[in-house]
Amino acid sequence: MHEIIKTESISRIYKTTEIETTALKKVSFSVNAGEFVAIMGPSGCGKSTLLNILGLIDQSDSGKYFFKGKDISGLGERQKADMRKENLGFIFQSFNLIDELNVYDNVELPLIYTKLSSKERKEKINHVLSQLDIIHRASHYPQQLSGGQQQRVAIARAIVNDPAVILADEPTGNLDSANGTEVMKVLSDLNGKGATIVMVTHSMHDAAYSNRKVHLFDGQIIKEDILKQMSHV
Amino acid sequence: MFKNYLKVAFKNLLSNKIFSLINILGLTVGMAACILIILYVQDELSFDKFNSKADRIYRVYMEYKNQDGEFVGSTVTPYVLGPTLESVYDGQLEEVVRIGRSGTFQMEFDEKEFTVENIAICDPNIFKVFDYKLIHGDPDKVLTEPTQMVINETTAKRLFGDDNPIGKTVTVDHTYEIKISGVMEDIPTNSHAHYSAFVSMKTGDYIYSERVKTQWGEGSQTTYILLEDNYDIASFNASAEDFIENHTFGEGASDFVRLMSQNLLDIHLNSHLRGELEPNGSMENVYIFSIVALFILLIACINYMNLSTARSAERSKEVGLRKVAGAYRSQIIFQFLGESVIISVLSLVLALLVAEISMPFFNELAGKNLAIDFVKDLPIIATFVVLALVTGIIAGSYPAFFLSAFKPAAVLKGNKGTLNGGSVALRKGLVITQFSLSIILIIGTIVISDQLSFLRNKDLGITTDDILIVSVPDTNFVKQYDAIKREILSSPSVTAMTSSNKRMTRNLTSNLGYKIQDAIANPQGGETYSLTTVTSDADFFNLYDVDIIMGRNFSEDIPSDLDHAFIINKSAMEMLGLKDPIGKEVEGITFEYTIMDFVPKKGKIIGVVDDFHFESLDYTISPVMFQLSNQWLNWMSFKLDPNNPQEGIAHIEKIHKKYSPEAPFNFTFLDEDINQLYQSQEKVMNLFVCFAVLAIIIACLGIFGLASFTAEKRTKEIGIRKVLGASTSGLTLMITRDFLLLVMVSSIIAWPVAWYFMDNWLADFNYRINLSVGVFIIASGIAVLIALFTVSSQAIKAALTNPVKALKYE
Repeated sequence: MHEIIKTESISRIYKTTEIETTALKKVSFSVNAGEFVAIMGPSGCGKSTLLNILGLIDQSDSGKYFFKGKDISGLGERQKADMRKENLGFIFQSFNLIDELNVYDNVELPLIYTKLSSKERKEKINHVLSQLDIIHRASHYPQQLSGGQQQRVAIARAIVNDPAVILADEPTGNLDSANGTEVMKVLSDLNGKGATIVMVTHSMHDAAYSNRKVHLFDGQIIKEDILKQMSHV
Repeated sequence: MFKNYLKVAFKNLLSNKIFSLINILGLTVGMAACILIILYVQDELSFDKFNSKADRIYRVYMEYKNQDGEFVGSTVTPYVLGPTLESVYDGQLEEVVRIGRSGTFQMEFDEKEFTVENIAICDPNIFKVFDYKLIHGDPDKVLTEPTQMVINETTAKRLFGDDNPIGKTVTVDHTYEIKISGVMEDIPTNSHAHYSAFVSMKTGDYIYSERVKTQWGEGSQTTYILLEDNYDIASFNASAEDFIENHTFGEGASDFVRLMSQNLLDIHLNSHLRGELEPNGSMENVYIFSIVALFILLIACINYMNLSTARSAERSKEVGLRKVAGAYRSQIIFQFLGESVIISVLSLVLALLVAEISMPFFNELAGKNLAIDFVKDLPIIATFVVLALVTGIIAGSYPAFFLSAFKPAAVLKGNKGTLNGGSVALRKGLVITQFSLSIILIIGTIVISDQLSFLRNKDLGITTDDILIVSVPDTNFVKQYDAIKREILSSPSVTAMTSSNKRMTRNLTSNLGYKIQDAIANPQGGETYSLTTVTSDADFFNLYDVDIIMGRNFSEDIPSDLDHAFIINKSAMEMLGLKDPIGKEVEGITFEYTIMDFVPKKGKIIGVVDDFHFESLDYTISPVMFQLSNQWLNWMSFKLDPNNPQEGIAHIEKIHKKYSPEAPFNFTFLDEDINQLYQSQEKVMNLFVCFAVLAIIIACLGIFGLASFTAEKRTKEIGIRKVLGASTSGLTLMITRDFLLLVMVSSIIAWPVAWYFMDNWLADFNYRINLSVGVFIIASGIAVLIALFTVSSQAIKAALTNPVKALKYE
């Protein structure tokens, strides 16, 4: 078992002309490969900021961030894009599917920026679509799908590239309970098959699927609960 | 990747139909206009380039000092200039070729008669200088003998149908038997001069008088030189003064005469000499239209930039997602640039279609014969493709850089409004640019049309209504002139008749030397003044209603007037420095048809007429010497009864036929002739107005799109304001006001720019309007109206929305 993500005392301060808001205060935090971590806390506590920094779409103002043991705090935009492409999958509360593209094309999106041939891409896409049981919807457009189906497409998109880590930002936030449970089962299954997941959530119910809960309050980690040992390790 | 880009691009196009329509329509119309202008400009720039030796061919001409001490040039050069140049510059000039002034002649063959225009006498080496292609005949022999003639293909077809014309003889003007020695291809349309036939110079030797053939003061030819490969024009020009001093009018001649040269390729666009062979174009128009094309394209591009960035919020999620998926910024920039290039290429295809469809209309407006030849004109097609690419890149550049800068963390959280102050300011800047360009074009339109109507309506100092102009058919006709005139005036349908050597509205080109008693020293040097000469019968001033300001008119009742009376115009009086010119002695010459040569004429000044415009307003009024003549009469003017002009014309035709049965009867009305003078300027104006209107329509489209977007964006604000008690009119005003403010700012930018351009344009006119503030205010007023009209409909629509709906919208 090794650390795939490790932060050392990272801080993030948002500045406007008049106000400074501290979103993260010297957060040190780590995730092991194969772990399913839930980050919890009230609105505005810095959960999403932390997730964005982990996902390399936001940058800390101080502190260090190691990914697979490599310090990536000072990477340039292009290298960050490469890191995201190769190692990270994102799932959002509002699904963020592109309305103009059908299910197949949405899932293909992360692959078009890689060097895979179209045949290889096709294989991968069909594989994840079957895995998530939405292959029959491949030619449909997002607006023709239910919320749960849309989020499954988003999950398929997040995992199609076999990322080292899946980052999920309130993945059930926009879903009713039935659809929400379905999505959480999918994530749990993925974790069961070895995927590392970091999930931000408000929901105790969702957090119960994780191995470990990390509680954030006013930008600081105030508590960590280990719920269960990683079953597949 | 490209498939994915294409899918998104086309889906986007389809899902936002109005925006897509505005963008594609704007770019299509803009590019179509550009295509037409490119073709026009290319055609203008292509004149005379078909001549392979064009870079070594120069037209030489002479400039004479006028009464103001300025040198004025004319294309008409003396007969002796060519041979003299040939001998003086032996070894430096490969060829010297003269082409006589062309004219219209009657040609008779096989008992059929044809009127053929543009026949000129020329030197035999013409085919060595110009790339006029002979179809039949040996270029070294076709014009070497007397009475030889080369005709062009069109004339050959008219006269001989499909028969081979070589060796056939035609009768020219019922007098000269001329043999067809060659047939040449029609001279291309993009030539500064067109001839339908060339007659050998040796024929001319029989026709030209000794005086014309020997005197330096007698202009009759256009003279071209072809430089030797190792000789340059700078050396030629440097030696021109010596040439004038040693080989022309004698010592001191260079004080009042200059020998000038202009490259063949400069003639069409840059030459505005007296006696131009055909109306030339102008480099200025080429610039004006190039700028207009640029304006139109820029306006269409700005539409695209504005609408794309205004709608950026809708694409922000996609950008965020692509970045999260690992796309580089450069890939996103490439994607958006690609999208705009796709749209511009699509627009190019449509634009080519639009250009093709509107070509006949455009050709009529521009007086051209342009066509897009997709096979032959590969460079032009390549230009259009480059145009589309450049347009796509310009239009897509700002949206691409703007959109690709989105921060995924922000946009994916559902913050749609990522518009920052900078982008709004830039968008305003772009709208201001559009309005400024539009206002400049509106000002241009008003100024050009004002100037043209000024030229057309300016008091010329003569009456121009109901006057018919007919050429005097032949010398026989002149011999019976008095009888003919009596017979024509016997009908009440013709109220007056006169004849003169020069045709009203045409260039005054007959300059004769006069010695005038008590005149101030001649700035041209020498004892004699060279004065423009008009000869006429005694009714000229009466028919044209010209005021006699001193002395008296010519009179048929005073027999001595014919040989001893002179009348000058006011300009001549001022130039000669004569306070009381009446009775001053004059020694001059006049033309005697019986001997086909000039003879001395001595007499006194009997009157002074007020200045009037004989020539086009492109020229200031020249000092003119008027002589009475019963021989030197080439053009007849008739004043018709306005109530029955048809009868008058029929009557004149009847008499014309009676006295000259073989000559065709052609006539024009003077007012039409005057309109003709400004036709090329009118064409330019019409084109300009068309393109200006197009530009403004495209700008309107964009502003309409932007206004509807703004109204949509402000739905919530409008809802809240309505709930709080704002009125519909107040809200409409609020949305409209922003745009009006932009028009104001645009005016401040546009006015000085337009003033600069238009004042420069007007500076080329001898008679011009002054730029008034009114024009500028009107232009901005029009822009305000356009903005109001475009924006207010959207504003009213937004203001009328039910506030409950508006608030739920968010």
